[in-house]
Amino acid sequence: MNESAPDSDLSSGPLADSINEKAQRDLAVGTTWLVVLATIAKASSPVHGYEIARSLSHASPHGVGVKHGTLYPILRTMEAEGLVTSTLVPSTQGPARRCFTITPAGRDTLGGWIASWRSVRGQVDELLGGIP
Amino acid sequence: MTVSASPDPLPPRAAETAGGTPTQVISYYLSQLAVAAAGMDAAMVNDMLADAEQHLWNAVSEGVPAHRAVAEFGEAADVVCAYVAAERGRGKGRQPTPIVVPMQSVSGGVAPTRAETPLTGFRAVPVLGIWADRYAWGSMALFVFGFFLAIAYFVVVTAWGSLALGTMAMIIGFPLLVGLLGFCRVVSLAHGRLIEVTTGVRMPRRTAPVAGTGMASFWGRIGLWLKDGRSWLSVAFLIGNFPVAVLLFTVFFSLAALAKSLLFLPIAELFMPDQWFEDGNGFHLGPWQGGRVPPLLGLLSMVLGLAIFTGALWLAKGCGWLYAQVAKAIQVTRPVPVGPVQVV
Repeated sequence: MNESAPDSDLSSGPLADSINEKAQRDLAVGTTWLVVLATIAKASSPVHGYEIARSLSHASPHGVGVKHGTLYPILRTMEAEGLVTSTLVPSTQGPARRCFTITPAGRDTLGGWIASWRSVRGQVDELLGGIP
Repeated sequence: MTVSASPDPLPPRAAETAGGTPTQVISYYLSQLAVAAAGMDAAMVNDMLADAEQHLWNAVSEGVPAHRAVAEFGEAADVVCAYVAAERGRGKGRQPTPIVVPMQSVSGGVAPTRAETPLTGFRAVPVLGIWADRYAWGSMALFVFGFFLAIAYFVVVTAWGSLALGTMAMIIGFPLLVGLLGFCRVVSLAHGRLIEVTTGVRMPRRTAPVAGTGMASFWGRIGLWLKDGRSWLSVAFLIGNFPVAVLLFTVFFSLAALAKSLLFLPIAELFMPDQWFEDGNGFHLGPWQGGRVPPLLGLLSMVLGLAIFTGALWLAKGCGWLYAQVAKAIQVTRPVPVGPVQVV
Protein backbone atom coordinates (compact mmCIF):
# COMPACT_ATOMS: atom_id res chain seq x y z
CA MET A 1 0.00 0.00 0.00
CA ASN A 2 1.53 3.22 -1.09
CA GLU A 3 0.17 6.21 0.80
CA SER A 4 3.13 8.44 0.17
CA ALA A 5 2.19 9.32 -3.41
CA PRO A 6 -0.28 12.09 -2.53
CA ASP A 7 2.28 13.53 -0.07
CA SER A 8 4.94 13.69 -2.73
CA ASP A 9 2.46 15.46 -5.03
CA LEU A 10 1.79 18.03 -2.33
CA SER A 11 5.45 18.74 -1.73
CA SER A 12 6.44 19.31 -5.32
CA GLY A 13 3.42 19.86 -7.58
CA PRO A 14 1.69 23.06 -8.65
CA LEU A 15 -0.60 22.82 -5.61
CA ALA A 16 2.45 22.80 -3.34
CA ASP A 17 3.80 25.86 -5.13
CA SER A 18 0.49 27.60 -4.65
CA ILE A 19 0.33 26.71 -0.93
CA ASN A 20 3.92 27.73 -0.36
CA GLU A 21 3.34 30.98 -2.18
CA LYS A 22 0.23 31.68 -0.12
CA ALA A 23 2.00 30.90 3.16
CA GLN A 24 4.92 33.12 2.26
CA ARG A 25 2.62 35.90 1.11
CA ASP A 26 0.64 35.72 4.36
CA LEU A 27 3.82 35.94 6.37
CA ALA A 28 4.99 38.90 4.30
CA VAL A 29 1.70 40.76 4.56
CA GLY A 30 1.60 40.22 8.29
CA THR A 31 4.93 41.90 8.81
CA THR A 32 4.86 44.58 6.13
CA TRP A 33 3.39 47.24 8.41
CA LEU A 34 6.00 46.51 11.04
CA VAL A 35 9.02 46.65 8.75
CA VAL A 36 7.82 49.68 6.83
CA LEU A 37 7.30 51.68 10.01
CA ALA A 38 10.61 50.41 11.38
CA THR A 39 12.39 51.49 8.19
CA ILE A 40 10.96 55.00 8.48
CA ALA A 41 11.87 55.10 12.19
CA LYS A 42 15.47 54.07 11.52
CA ALA A 43 16.05 56.67 8.84
CA SER A 44 18.01 59.70 9.98
CA SER A 45 16.10 62.00 7.60
CA PRO A 46 12.70 61.88 5.89
CA VAL A 47 12.54 59.00 3.39
CA HIS A 48 10.50 58.67 0.20
CA GLY A 49 8.62 55.60 -0.97
CA TYR A 50 11.26 54.36 -3.38
CA GLU A 51 13.94 54.70 -0.72
CA ILE A 52 11.85 52.64 1.73
CA ALA A 53 11.36 49.94 -0.89
CA ARG A 54 15.07 49.91 -1.68
CA SER A 55 16.01 49.67 2.01
CA LEU A 56 13.71 46.70 2.42
CA SER A 57 15.22 45.03 -0.64
CA HIS A 58 18.75 45.53 0.67
CA ALA A 59 17.78 44.18 4.08
CA SER A 60 16.66 40.87 2.65
CA PRO A 61 17.32 40.46 -1.08
CA HIS A 62 16.09 36.86 -1.30
CA GLY A 63 13.03 37.12 0.87
CA VAL A 64 9.37 36.98 0.01
CA GLY A 65 8.41 39.59 -2.55
CA VAL A 66 6.15 42.48 -1.68
CA LYS A 67 5.71 44.71 -4.66
CA HIS A 68 6.60 48.37 -4.40
CA GLY A 69 3.14 49.41 -5.50
CA THR A 70 1.54 47.84 -2.44
CA LEU A 71 3.64 49.97 -0.06
CA TYR A 72 1.88 53.23 -0.91
CA PRO A 73 -1.58 52.34 0.42
CA ILE A 74 0.17 51.35 3.66
CA LEU A 75 2.07 54.64 3.82
CA ARG A 76 -1.14 56.51 3.05
CA THR A 77 -3.03 54.75 5.84
CA MET A 78 -0.17 55.28 8.26
CA GLU A 79 -0.28 58.97 7.47
CA ALA A 80 -4.05 59.11 7.91
CA GLU A 81 -3.70 57.40 11.28
CA GLY A 82 -1.02 59.84 12.42
CA LEU A 83 1.82 57.33 12.58
CA VAL A 84 3.87 59.21 9.99
CA THR A 85 3.82 62.64 8.42
CA SER A 86 4.78 63.46 4.87
CA THR A 87 6.19 66.45 3.05
CA LEU A 88 6.72 67.05 -0.63
CA VAL A 89 10.41 67.63 -1.31
CA PRO A 90 11.51 69.06 -4.67
CA SER A 91 14.10 67.01 -6.51
CA THR A 92 16.56 68.06 -9.18
CA GLN A 93 16.64 64.53 -10.61
CA GLY A 94 12.96 63.90 -11.07
CA PRO A 95 9.52 64.85 -9.84
CA ALA A 96 9.04 66.10 -6.30
CA ARG A 97 9.24 63.31 -3.75
CA ARG A 98 6.86 62.69 -0.89
CA CYS A 99 9.08 62.01 2.11
CA PHE A 100 7.88 60.36 5.30
CA THR A 101 8.87 60.92 8.94
CA ILE A 102 7.67 58.95 11.93
CA THR A 103 5.62 60.82 14.54
CA PRO A 104 5.86 60.37 18.35
CA ALA A 105 2.57 58.43 18.14
CA GLY A 106 4.14 56.29 15.43
CA ARG A 107 7.13 55.54 17.67
CA ASP A 108 4.82 54.50 20.51
CA THR A 109 2.87 52.25 18.18
CA LEU A 110 6.04 50.79 16.73
CA GLY A 111 7.27 50.00 20.24
CA GLY A 112 4.06 48.06 20.87
CA TRP A 113 4.34 46.23 17.56
CA ILE A 114 7.97 45.27 18.20
CA ALA A 115 7.09 43.90 21.65
CA SER A 116 4.23 41.92 20.15
CA TRP A 117 6.40 40.68 17.30
CA ARG A 118 9.07 39.44 19.71
CA SER A 119 6.46 37.73 21.81
CA VAL A 120 4.87 36.04 18.78
CA ARG A 121 8.27 35.10 17.39
CA GLY A 122 9.23 33.50 20.71
CA GLN A 123 6.02 31.51 20.79
CA VAL A 124 6.43 30.37 17.19
CA ASP A 125 10.08 29.43 17.76
CA GLU A 126 9.03 27.42 20.78
CA LEU A 127 6.39 25.60 18.72
CA LEU A 128 8.85 24.96 15.92
CA GLY A 129 11.53 23.73 18.29
CA GLY A 130 12.42 20.09 17.79
CA ILE A 131 11.35 20.00 14.17
CA PRO A 132 14.38 19.05 12.09
CA MET B 1 9.93 39.75 4.27
CA THR B 2 11.36 41.93 1.63
CA VAL B 3 10.48 43.91 -1.39
CA SER B 4 11.30 42.06 -4.54
CA ALA B 5 14.38 43.51 -6.12
CA SER B 6 16.04 40.28 -7.04
CA PRO B 7 16.63 39.80 -10.77
CA ASP B 8 13.51 37.74 -11.41
CA PRO B 9 12.34 37.24 -14.98
CA LEU B 10 10.24 40.19 -16.05
CA PRO B 11 6.47 39.74 -16.00
CA PRO B 12 4.97 39.60 -19.51
CA ARG B 13 3.61 43.17 -19.39
CA ALA B 14 6.93 44.63 -18.32
CA ALA B 15 8.72 42.65 -20.99
CA GLU B 16 6.19 43.91 -23.52
CA THR B 17 7.23 47.49 -22.79
CA ALA B 18 10.94 46.87 -22.32
CA GLY B 19 11.80 48.34 -25.70
CA GLY B 20 10.22 51.76 -25.10
CA THR B 21 11.57 54.98 -23.67
CA PRO B 22 10.99 55.56 -19.93
CA THR B 23 8.11 57.91 -20.74
CA GLN B 24 6.48 55.26 -22.95
CA VAL B 25 7.04 52.42 -20.50
CA ILE B 26 5.70 54.40 -17.55
CA SER B 27 2.77 55.81 -19.49
CA TYR B 28 1.83 52.36 -20.72
CA TYR B 29 2.01 50.92 -17.22
CA LEU B 30 -0.12 53.77 -15.87
CA SER B 31 -2.70 53.05 -18.56
CA GLN B 32 -2.67 49.38 -17.46
CA LEU B 33 -3.28 50.49 -13.88
CA ALA B 34 -6.12 52.76 -15.01
CA VAL B 35 -7.71 49.90 -16.95
CA ALA B 36 -7.39 47.55 -13.96
CA ALA B 37 -9.08 50.16 -11.75
CA ALA B 38 -11.89 50.95 -14.19
CA GLY B 39 -15.15 51.72 -12.44
CA MET B 40 -13.56 52.47 -9.08
CA ASP B 41 -13.64 55.77 -7.24
CA ALA B 42 -11.96 58.41 -9.40
CA ALA B 43 -10.16 60.01 -6.46
CA MET B 44 -8.69 56.68 -5.36
CA VAL B 45 -7.58 55.93 -8.91
CA ASN B 46 -6.03 59.39 -9.14
CA ASP B 47 -4.06 58.82 -5.94
CA MET B 48 -2.92 55.41 -7.10
CA LEU B 49 -1.73 56.75 -10.45
CA ALA B 50 0.00 59.69 -8.78
CA ASP B 51 1.84 57.38 -6.37
CA ALA B 52 2.85 55.05 -9.20
CA GLU B 53 4.02 57.83 -11.47
CA GLN B 54 6.04 59.50 -8.72
CA HIS B 55 7.60 56.22 -7.62
CA LEU B 56 8.52 55.09 -11.13
CA TRP B 57 10.11 58.40 -12.06
CA ASN B 58 12.03 58.39 -8.78
CA ALA B 59 13.30 54.91 -9.62
CA VAL B 60 14.28 55.99 -13.13
CA SER B 61 16.07 59.05 -11.78
CA GLU B 62 18.05 56.67 -9.52
CA GLY B 63 19.28 54.82 -12.62
CA VAL B 64 16.85 51.88 -12.54
CA PRO B 65 15.65 50.90 -16.05
CA ALA B 66 11.99 51.81 -16.47
CA HIS B 67 10.89 48.26 -17.31
CA ARG B 68 12.65 46.97 -14.17
CA ALA B 69 10.99 49.68 -12.06
CA VAL B 70 7.61 48.67 -13.47
CA ALA B 71 8.29 45.00 -12.77
CA GLU B 72 9.25 45.80 -9.17
CA PHE B 73 6.17 48.00 -8.74
CA GLY B 74 3.91 45.00 -9.26
CA GLU B 75 1.17 43.66 -11.47
CA ALA B 76 -1.57 46.24 -12.00
CA ALA B 77 -4.26 43.98 -10.49
CA ASP B 78 -2.23 43.43 -7.29
CA VAL B 79 -1.63 47.15 -6.86
CA VAL B 80 -5.32 47.95 -7.39
CA CYS B 81 -6.27 45.27 -4.83
CA ALA B 82 -3.93 46.84 -2.27
CA TYR B 83 -5.55 50.25 -2.73
CA VAL B 84 -9.06 48.83 -2.57
CA ALA B 85 -8.20 46.99 0.66
CA ALA B 86 -6.78 50.17 2.19
CA GLU B 87 -9.81 52.13 1.06
CA ARG B 88 -12.18 49.66 2.72
CA GLY B 89 -10.42 50.18 6.05
CA ARG B 90 -10.58 53.97 5.69
CA GLY B 91 -12.62 55.90 8.22
CA LYS B 92 -13.52 52.89 10.33
CA GLY B 93 -11.66 54.31 13.32
CA ARG B 94 -9.40 51.31 13.72
CA GLN B 95 -5.70 51.33 14.37
CA PRO B 96 -3.76 49.79 11.49
CA THR B 97 -2.09 46.70 12.84
CA PRO B 98 0.25 44.08 11.48
CA ILE B 99 -1.79 40.95 10.94
CA VAL B 100 0.44 38.76 13.08
CA VAL B 101 0.40 41.13 16.04
CA PRO B 102 -2.51 40.78 18.44
CA MET B 103 -4.63 43.92 18.38
CA GLN B 104 -4.95 44.05 22.19
CA SER B 105 -1.24 44.26 22.75
CA VAL B 106 -0.78 47.04 20.22
CA SER B 107 -3.28 49.62 21.22
CA GLY B 108 -4.12 48.49 24.73
CA GLY B 109 -7.36 46.89 23.68
CA VAL B 110 -9.56 46.31 20.71
CA ALA B 111 -10.44 49.61 19.10
CA PRO B 112 -14.05 50.46 19.85
CA THR B 113 -16.53 50.57 17.04
CA ARG B 114 -18.42 53.82 16.67
CA ALA B 115 -21.26 53.88 19.12
CA GLU B 116 -24.85 54.55 18.12
CA THR B 117 -25.88 58.01 19.29
CA PRO B 118 -29.32 59.63 19.36
CA LEU B 119 -28.19 61.64 16.32
CA THR B 120 -27.48 58.54 14.23
CA GLY B 121 -30.98 57.29 15.04
CA PHE B 122 -32.55 60.64 14.13
CA ARG B 123 -30.74 60.59 10.78
CA ALA B 124 -33.06 57.78 9.69
CA VAL B 125 -36.17 59.96 10.14
CA PRO B 126 -37.60 60.83 6.70
CA VAL B 127 -37.01 64.43 5.54
CA LEU B 128 -36.21 65.84 9.00
CA GLY B 129 -33.31 63.42 9.41
CA ILE B 130 -31.24 65.86 7.38
CA TRP B 131 -30.89 67.96 10.56
CA ALA B 132 -28.61 65.22 11.94
CA ASP B 133 -26.57 64.90 8.75
CA ARG B 134 -23.17 66.43 9.32
CA TYR B 135 -22.44 66.63 5.62
CA ALA B 136 -25.53 68.78 5.02
CA TRP B 137 -24.32 71.19 7.72
CA GLY B 138 -20.79 70.90 6.38
CA SER B 139 -21.90 71.78 2.87
CA MET B 140 -23.82 74.78 4.14
CA ALA B 141 -20.78 75.93 6.12
CA LEU B 142 -18.62 75.41 3.02
CA PHE B 143 -20.91 77.58 0.92
CA VAL B 144 -21.12 80.35 3.51
CA PHE B 145 -17.50 80.48 4.69
CA GLY B 146 -15.98 79.19 1.44
CA PHE B 147 -17.11 82.48 -0.11
CA PHE B 148 -14.28 84.28 1.68
CA LEU B 149 -11.78 81.66 0.54
CA ALA B 150 -13.05 82.03 -3.02
CA ILE B 151 -12.43 85.78 -2.87
CA ALA B 152 -8.89 85.17 -1.59
CA TYR B 153 -8.15 82.61 -4.33
CA PHE B 154 -9.52 84.89 -7.02
CA VAL B 155 -7.54 87.93 -5.84
CA VAL B 156 -4.26 86.01 -5.54
CA VAL B 157 -4.63 84.22 -8.89
CA THR B 158 -5.60 87.32 -10.87
CA ALA B 159 -2.91 89.47 -9.24
CA TRP B 160 -0.19 86.82 -9.64
CA GLY B 161 -1.32 86.00 -13.17
CA SER B 162 -1.33 89.65 -14.19
CA LEU B 163 2.16 90.10 -12.78
CA ALA B 164 3.42 87.01 -14.61
CA LEU B 165 1.85 88.00 -17.93
CA GLY B 166 3.04 91.58 -17.51
CA THR B 167 6.65 90.47 -17.05
CA MET B 168 6.50 87.84 -19.78
CA ALA B 169 8.57 90.06 -22.07
CA MET B 170 11.35 89.62 -19.52
CA ILE B 171 12.40 86.07 -18.69
CA ILE B 172 11.10 86.37 -15.11
CA GLY B 173 7.49 86.03 -16.34
CA PHE B 174 7.86 82.33 -17.20
CA PRO B 175 9.04 81.12 -13.77
CA LEU B 176 6.36 83.34 -12.22
CA LEU B 177 3.73 81.67 -14.36
CA VAL B 178 5.03 78.21 -13.46
CA GLY B 179 4.96 79.25 -9.80
CA LEU B 180 1.34 80.30 -10.23
CA LEU B 181 0.48 76.94 -11.83
CA GLY B 182 2.14 75.08 -8.95
CA PHE B 183 0.37 77.29 -6.42
CA CYS B 184 -3.00 76.63 -8.06
CA ARG B 185 -2.44 72.86 -8.05
CA VAL B 186 -1.54 72.85 -4.36
CA VAL B 187 -4.42 75.15 -3.39
CA SER B 188 -6.87 73.08 -5.46
CA LEU B 189 -5.69 69.96 -3.69
CA ALA B 190 -6.01 71.61 -0.27
CA HIS B 191 -9.45 72.94 -1.18
CA GLY B 192 -10.33 69.40 -2.22
CA ARG B 193 -9.53 68.18 1.30
CA LEU B 194 -11.80 70.89 2.70
CA ILE B 195 -14.53 69.73 0.33
CA GLU B 196 -14.03 66.13 1.48
CA VAL B 197 -14.30 67.04 5.14
CA THR B 198 -17.44 69.12 4.62
CA THR B 199 -19.30 67.06 1.99
CA GLY B 200 -18.02 63.55 2.64
CA VAL B 201 -17.11 62.98 -1.02
CA ARG B 202 -13.74 61.22 -1.37
CA MET B 203 -11.30 63.66 -2.98
CA PRO B 204 -7.75 63.10 -4.28
CA ARG B 205 -4.95 63.30 -1.75
CA ARG B 206 -2.18 63.47 -4.30
CA THR B 207 -1.66 65.60 -7.32
CA ALA B 208 -0.04 63.78 -10.23
CA PRO B 209 3.42 65.01 -11.16
CA VAL B 210 3.61 66.94 -14.40
CA ALA B 211 4.22 64.28 -17.05
CA GLY B 212 7.75 63.95 -18.36
CA THR B 213 9.53 66.35 -16.00
CA GLY B 214 11.55 63.47 -14.58
CA MET B 215 14.06 63.55 -17.41
CA ALA B 216 13.71 67.16 -18.59
CA SER B 217 16.10 70.08 -18.23
CA PHE B 218 15.16 73.22 -16.26
CA TRP B 219 13.72 75.01 -19.29
CA GLY B 220 12.22 71.75 -20.52
CA ARG B 221 10.39 71.44 -17.22
CA ILE B 222 9.03 74.95 -17.52
CA GLY B 223 7.76 74.07 -21.00
CA LEU B 224 6.13 70.87 -19.71
CA TRP B 225 4.50 72.76 -16.85
CA LEU B 226 3.09 75.31 -19.28
CA LYS B 227 1.73 72.50 -21.47
CA ASP B 228 0.22 70.60 -18.52
CA GLY B 229 -3.57 70.68 -18.84
CA ARG B 230 -4.20 69.80 -15.19
CA SER B 231 -2.40 72.90 -13.96
CA TRP B 232 -4.43 75.18 -16.22
CA LEU B 233 -7.59 73.42 -15.08
CA SER B 234 -6.60 74.23 -11.49
CA VAL B 235 -6.21 77.89 -12.43
CA ALA B 236 -9.60 77.79 -14.17
CA PHE B 237 -11.12 76.16 -11.08
CA LEU B 238 -9.85 78.85 -8.73
CA ILE B 239 -11.10 81.61 -11.02
CA GLY B 240 -14.37 79.91 -11.95
CA ASN B 241 -14.99 79.06 -8.30
CA PHE B 242 -15.46 82.76 -7.54
CA PRO B 243 -18.78 83.39 -9.32
CA VAL B 244 -20.05 79.98 -8.20
CA ALA B 245 -19.12 80.79 -4.60
CA VAL B 246 -20.88 84.18 -4.86
CA LEU B 247 -24.04 82.48 -6.12
CA LEU B 248 -23.96 79.74 -3.49
CA PHE B 249 -23.21 82.21 -0.70
CA THR B 250 -26.10 84.42 -1.77
CA VAL B 251 -28.57 81.55 -1.97
CA PHE B 252 -27.63 79.81 1.26
CA PHE B 253 -26.99 82.92 3.34
CA SER B 254 -30.37 84.30 2.25
CA LEU B 255 -32.18 81.03 2.93
CA ALA B 256 -30.52 80.65 6.32
CA ALA B 257 -31.29 84.26 7.28
CA LEU B 258 -34.93 83.97 6.16
CA ALA B 259 -35.43 80.64 7.92
CA LYS B 260 -33.78 81.90 11.08
CA SER B 261 -35.98 85.01 11.15
CA LEU B 262 -39.19 83.05 10.63
CA LEU B 263 -38.16 80.45 13.16
CA PHE B 264 -36.96 82.64 15.99
CA LEU B 265 -38.82 85.93 15.63
CA PRO B 266 -42.03 84.70 17.32
CA ILE B 267 -39.92 83.44 20.24
CA ALA B 268 -37.83 86.60 20.38
CA GLU B 269 -41.03 88.67 20.45
CA LEU B 270 -41.98 87.19 23.81
CA PHE B 271 -38.94 88.86 25.35
CA MET B 272 -39.25 92.23 23.59
CA PRO B 273 -40.66 95.24 25.50
CA ASP B 274 -43.89 96.86 24.17
CA GLN B 275 -42.18 100.09 23.15
CA TRP B 276 -40.27 98.20 20.49
CA PHE B 277 -43.59 97.71 18.68
CA GLU B 278 -44.55 101.42 18.75
CA ASP B 279 -43.37 104.25 16.60
CA GLY B 280 -42.82 106.58 19.60
CA ASN B 281 -46.22 108.31 19.23
CA GLY B 282 -48.30 105.47 20.59
CA PHE B 283 -49.05 103.89 17.20
CA HIS B 284 -48.44 100.20 16.91
CA LEU B 285 -46.23 98.96 14.13
CA GLY B 286 -47.57 96.21 11.91
CA PRO B 287 -51.17 95.23 11.14
CA TRP B 288 -51.76 93.18 14.29
CA GLN B 289 -53.23 94.06 17.66
CA GLY B 290 -50.52 95.51 19.90
CA GLY B 291 -48.03 95.26 17.03
CA ARG B 292 -47.22 91.70 17.98
CA VAL B 293 -47.66 88.69 15.73
CA PRO B 294 -50.68 86.59 16.84
CA PRO B 295 -49.73 83.23 18.41
CA LEU B 296 -51.21 81.15 15.57
CA LEU B 297 -49.41 83.17 12.95
CA GLY B 298 -46.24 82.93 15.04
CA LEU B 299 -46.59 79.18 15.07
CA LEU B 300 -47.09 79.12 11.31
CA SER B 301 -44.04 81.33 10.92
CA MET B 302 -41.97 78.86 12.94
CA VAL B 303 -43.21 75.91 10.90
CA LEU B 304 -42.42 77.78 7.69
CA GLY B 305 -38.94 78.66 8.99
CA LEU B 306 -38.35 75.05 9.90
CA ALA B 307 -39.48 73.91 6.46
CA ILE B 308 -37.29 76.45 4.67
CA PHE B 309 -34.22 75.51 6.68
CA THR B 310 -34.89 71.80 6.18
CA GLY B 311 -35.17 72.42 2.45
CA ALA B 312 -31.99 74.51 2.58
CA LEU B 313 -30.13 71.64 4.25
CA TRP B 314 -31.30 69.20 1.57
CA LEU B 315 -30.36 71.69 -1.12
CA ALA B 316 -26.96 72.25 0.51
CA LYS B 317 -26.30 68.53 0.61
CA GLY B 318 -27.22 68.12 -3.04
CA CYS B 319 -25.24 71.16 -4.14
CA GLY B 320 -22.32 70.01 -1.99
CA TRP B 321 -22.27 66.63 -3.72
CA LEU B 322 -22.47 68.27 -7.15
CA TYR B 323 -19.79 70.84 -6.28
CA ALA B 324 -17.52 68.06 -5.01
CA GLN B 325 -18.04 65.99 -8.17
CA VAL B 326 -17.06 68.94 -10.36
CA ALA B 327 -13.99 69.70 -8.23
CA LYS B 328 -13.03 66.02 -8.27
CA ALA B 329 -13.44 65.74 -12.04
CA ILE B 330 -11.08 68.69 -12.47
CA GLN B 331 -8.52 67.23 -10.10
CA VAL B 332 -8.48 63.72 -11.51
CA THR B 333 -8.23 64.72 -15.16
CA ARG B 334 -5.10 63.18 -16.61
CA PRO B 335 -3.42 63.54 -19.96
CA VAL B 336 -4.28 60.77 -22.41
CA PRO B 337 -1.75 58.00 -21.73
CA VAL B 338 0.67 56.82 -24.35
CA GLY B 339 -0.74 53.78 -26.12
CA PRO B 340 0.77 50.30 -26.06
CA VAL B 341 4.46 50.44 -26.88
CA GLN B 342 5.70 48.54 -29.87
CA VAL B 343 8.53 46.20 -29.03
CA VAL B 344 11.61 47.07 -31.03
